[in-house]
Order: sequence, then C-alpha cells, then structure tokens
Amino acid sequence: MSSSNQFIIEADQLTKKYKDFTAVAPLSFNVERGDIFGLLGPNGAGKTTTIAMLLGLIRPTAGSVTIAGHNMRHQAPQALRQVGAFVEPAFYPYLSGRDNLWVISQMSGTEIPASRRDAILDKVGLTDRADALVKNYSMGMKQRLGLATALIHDPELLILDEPTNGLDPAGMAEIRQLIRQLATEEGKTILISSHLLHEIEQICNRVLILQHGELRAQGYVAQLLANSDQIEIKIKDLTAAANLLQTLPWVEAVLIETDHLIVTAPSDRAADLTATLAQNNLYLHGMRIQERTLENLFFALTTT
Amino acid sequence: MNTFTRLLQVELYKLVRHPLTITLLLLIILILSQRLNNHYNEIQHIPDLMAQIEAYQPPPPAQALTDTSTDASRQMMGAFMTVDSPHKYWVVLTYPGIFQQLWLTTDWLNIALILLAIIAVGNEFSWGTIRMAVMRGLPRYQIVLAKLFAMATIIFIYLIICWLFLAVVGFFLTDGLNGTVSWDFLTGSFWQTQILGLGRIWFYCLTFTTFVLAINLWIGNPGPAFTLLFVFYSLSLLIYVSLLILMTFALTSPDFVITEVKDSIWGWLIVLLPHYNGRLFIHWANPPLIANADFTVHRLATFLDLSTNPWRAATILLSYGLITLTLSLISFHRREL
Repeated sequence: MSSSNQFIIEADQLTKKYKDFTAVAPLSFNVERGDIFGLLGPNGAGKTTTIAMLLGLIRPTAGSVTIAGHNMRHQAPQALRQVGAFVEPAFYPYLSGRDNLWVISQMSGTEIPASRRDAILDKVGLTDRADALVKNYSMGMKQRLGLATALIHDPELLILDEPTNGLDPAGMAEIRQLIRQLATEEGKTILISSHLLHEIEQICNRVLILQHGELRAQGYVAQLLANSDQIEIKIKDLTAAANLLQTLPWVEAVLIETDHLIVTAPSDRAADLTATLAQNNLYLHGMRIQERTLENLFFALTTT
Repeated sequence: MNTFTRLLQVELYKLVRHPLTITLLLLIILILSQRLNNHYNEIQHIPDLMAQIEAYQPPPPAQALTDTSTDASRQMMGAFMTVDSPHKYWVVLTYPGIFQQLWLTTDWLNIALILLAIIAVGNEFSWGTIRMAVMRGLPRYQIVLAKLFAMATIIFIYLIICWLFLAVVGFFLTDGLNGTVSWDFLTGSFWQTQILGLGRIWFYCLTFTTFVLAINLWIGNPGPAFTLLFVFYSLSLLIYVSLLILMTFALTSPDFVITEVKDSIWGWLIVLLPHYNGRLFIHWANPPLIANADFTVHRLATFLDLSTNPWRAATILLSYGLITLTLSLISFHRREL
C-alpha cells in the first residue's frame, strides 16, 4: 500500500509561529485510514492551531499537510471535499436547524438530496427539533447539529473538535457510540480533539499528545499504555529512595509526593524494585501498582 | 449547478431570510412616502408656493453673459444660486417626474448596504459561520464575490420595488393634481431614461458595496465595522456637502472672476468628481442651502462648458470599486480564521 493510500492525513514539519511565539513547533504525524485518532493536550498546547492548519483556516509558517493525497497548499478544495469538520458550533441563529443544514449542504460541492439531510438529522437525534430556530437550541443540540453538518456530504475523514462539549452524560455516550459506529460500520477516519481523556481512551486507537506546541508522545493507545505502569511506594526516606530508583535503567520517572513516591516503571519489575531498595537498607511500608491510564500518562507527560 | 452559483444562491437565501432585509425595504418605502406626503402638503396648503409656481419664469440662458468682470461674475453666480425649484414640486409628484424621487433612495440604499454587509459579512465572523464555507474547500475569492453579488442583487430588488411603488403612487397623485392621467410620456425615451437611471443608481451603490465589503472583511467584527462605516459615511456626506458650500462661497468672494474657475482647483474638482460627471446632483427637495449650492455648481459647470462626461464618472466609480474589491480579495485570502 502506498503512503498516500495508507495515510489520509500526512503532516510534515507543520509549524506555526506568531512573531516570537511558537504556537506549534515542527510537528509531523500521519493518520491512517480507519483510525480514530485523538489529539490531546492542555489548553494552549496547540491543538486548535493544528486543526485550523489542517482545515486551511490558518496558513502554516512552515511544513505541509496532505489530505487524501491532495496537498493543502495547492489543492485545498480537493482535499477539503474529503473532510467533514466540526470546529465549534457556528450557525445562523435566525434559521432553523434544517435550513442551516441546507445552507451547509449547498456549500459541499455536490447535490445533497433532502432525504439525506433528514437521515442525518435522524442520526444525530435532531428530527423533532429540526424546524426550531437555532437561536433557541441548547448547547447540546448545537453540538448535534454541528456533527450533522460534518456528516452531511458523507466525507471520508471527520475532524471533530470537542464534539461532546456541552452534552449531558447520556448525550456524550450517544455521540461516542455514534463516532465508533461511523468508524467501524461506515469506515470513516476520525481525528478528534478532546479534553476528556477517558473519552479519548475509550474511542481512539491512536493518540498524539501536545504541550506548549511540541509533540510529547504519539502512537497506538494500547502500546503507550503497555509500556509502563505507575507503582506507588510508601517508604520512610523518600529522597534517598527516589535518588536510588532514578538510577535504574528501567525506571522512567520518579515523582516525590507528600508521603509516598510514584515510580513509572513496568509492573513486572515490582519485585526487582523491592529488592533493590532492601539491598540499600530502604524498606517499604507499602506498595500499590496502578495500571497506567491515558489520564496518568497524559499528566506524566504534560506536568513538567 | 456549479459551486459559485450554489454559493450565490446560499448568500441570497441567507440575506432574504434575515428579518432586517425586509425591515430595511419597508423603511426605505416609508421614507419615500414621507417625502411625497411632504411635497403634496406643501402644494396643497401653501398659497404662496402656488403663486410662485404660477408666476415662475425660467432664468435667462447663462450663455447671454459676455461681461466677465468681478461684478458681473458675482451677478452671474447670484443668478445661478436663484432657486427655481417651486415648479418642480408639481413635477416630482406627477408622471413622469415622480420617478426622479428614486434618486432620494440612494442615500438610504447606502445605509441599507452598511447593514446588509453586517449581516452578510460582519455577523459571519462573530458567529463563526464564515469558517464553515472555508472549511468546505470553497475558494475564498468565490466566497467574497458571492457576497458582493448577493448584496448587489438585493439592492437591485430594492430599487425595482421602489420604482414600482412610485409608479403606483404616481398614478393617484397625477390623477389628483392634474385631474387626469395622460400616458403620452410612455415613449421609448422614457423607458430608456428609466433603465439608465436605475442602472446608474445601482452602479453607484455597487461601488459602495465593494467599500462596505472591504471594511467588514478587514475588521472582521460587526460592531466596530458598523461604527467605522457609519462614521465614514457621515464624514463623506459632510465633506461632500461642505465642499459644495465652500465652492459656492469661494466663487462669490470679492476677487472672484467667473471665467478663471475653469483652470482653478474648483474646475478640476467639478471635472473629476463622479457626482457632477454623472449628473448625480443632490435633489432640489433637500434643504435649500445644499440644494442651491449643488445647483449653483451644476449651472456653473454648464456655463463654463466644463466637460461633464458620464463615462468619466463611470470609469472613476469603476476604478474605485475594482480597487476596493481587489483589496477585499487580498485581505480575505490572507486572513487567518
């Protein structure tokens, strides 16, 4: 399979600078067809800037983006026709949800029949309120309509920025289910940005973590989580133990908390860790192994 | 249907569906009605005015002046400044003169354009909907052009509706004031004049559309864009009116010699301003000082045989429109959303 067939997004050294401020440092990543790709990072990490560069809303200072084999600099219309994007709920408040969807569908470059618009409204659960004015919509309804506008022209790639923002727990679960369904049943590739780490962990197969515009980690979620766990150790001399453990090659990081240490290391090394401490006259009061979640991986990578 | 046609259809749909669009049309018609009503009342209820109308004799042809001394020049300017408008009250209330009232809509159409541009462009920035079109891969130049054409179309529809309104109201007023309606004026030249007149007002508005579009795309925020446009528009009216009044005062100064105007800065202004070249003079029914100043300059231009070429006016307006449109396209192309 050639790279352009395998990857639907190819970002190469994508950079955005505003005078002296670097919003996104040279960033390279690929999104494979069929991926549900999570974009993670604290506020100001550069997620929205990255998405805006992917969608042609802002011009990269350097680097390039290729979407479905089309270079964004030279073939943006062809590239963006493969994309359904939802960046923030943006609608005409004086029009109904159905009319807003018609307006967006007219901008899609292809004729979209009314039956398709009805089906999409039904899919996002808006059929009952489709004829109400958008200015009377709740945040959750706007999010659903936003998703409908992204799906209306049946794109190959969906780029969703905080798609569950403002939804109640049931609505969030429904949208998560819909996203999974779009990927598994309809073969869509999805790039999703969210602050909700457990949500990303539940639905994404690959993630990219950004901080201060720089890449901190990227890869398959399963691989990232398999690498290391967190081992909580209670011990009398925290500093001596931390200094010792940091010298071990298989220990990734040691964090000193108020009355315990958090050691990032494979959980099957727990016995070696106990033995090493004992050989140096440092005896444990207690130990607890925490399996790594995306949340603690995220904090380990971004809390610096 | 190609992408641009579809985009234009969307822009028109959004404008037509906005409640402000119909409100603006109703307001323009209301203002026209109020003007007609004022003129009608003046004719019906001011005996002096009726006497003036009956006694009115057109001023002697300006070409009769041969003495170009300062005194004679002042005398001539005085003659130019004489208001010969009373008889026109009747003219602009009856067929076919009533269609001249359409000129009065120009200022209001420009104010309507400021508001239409806020709907079509400014609000799209604040709502974030402008991003939707860009994210769909639509070329940015097509987005700008679709908005321009949609606004120009709405203004054209406004003009046609105002013309039809004048046609209907004119029937009743002509019948009431003349006792009967004669249809003799419906000749080929009448229709030619009407089409040219509508085209000229629309063209004038079109150039202003490029300006309001440029400001909205540059500012990207409806509140400040509206304020800036309103200030610009008020200033332009003020400068325009001040210019006329200043010109009239300058021409009536003690050292003034009428024949020297042709090669002075005032002569150049008359020749270069689209207003004079296009014969787009302020309507006589405006406040007397402005109307007099305006007529004075026109009469002076005619007397001095200054070339007032409508095509020059069209070229100046077209250049202005094309420059502002180009700036709009460049500014939106480079804009980060």
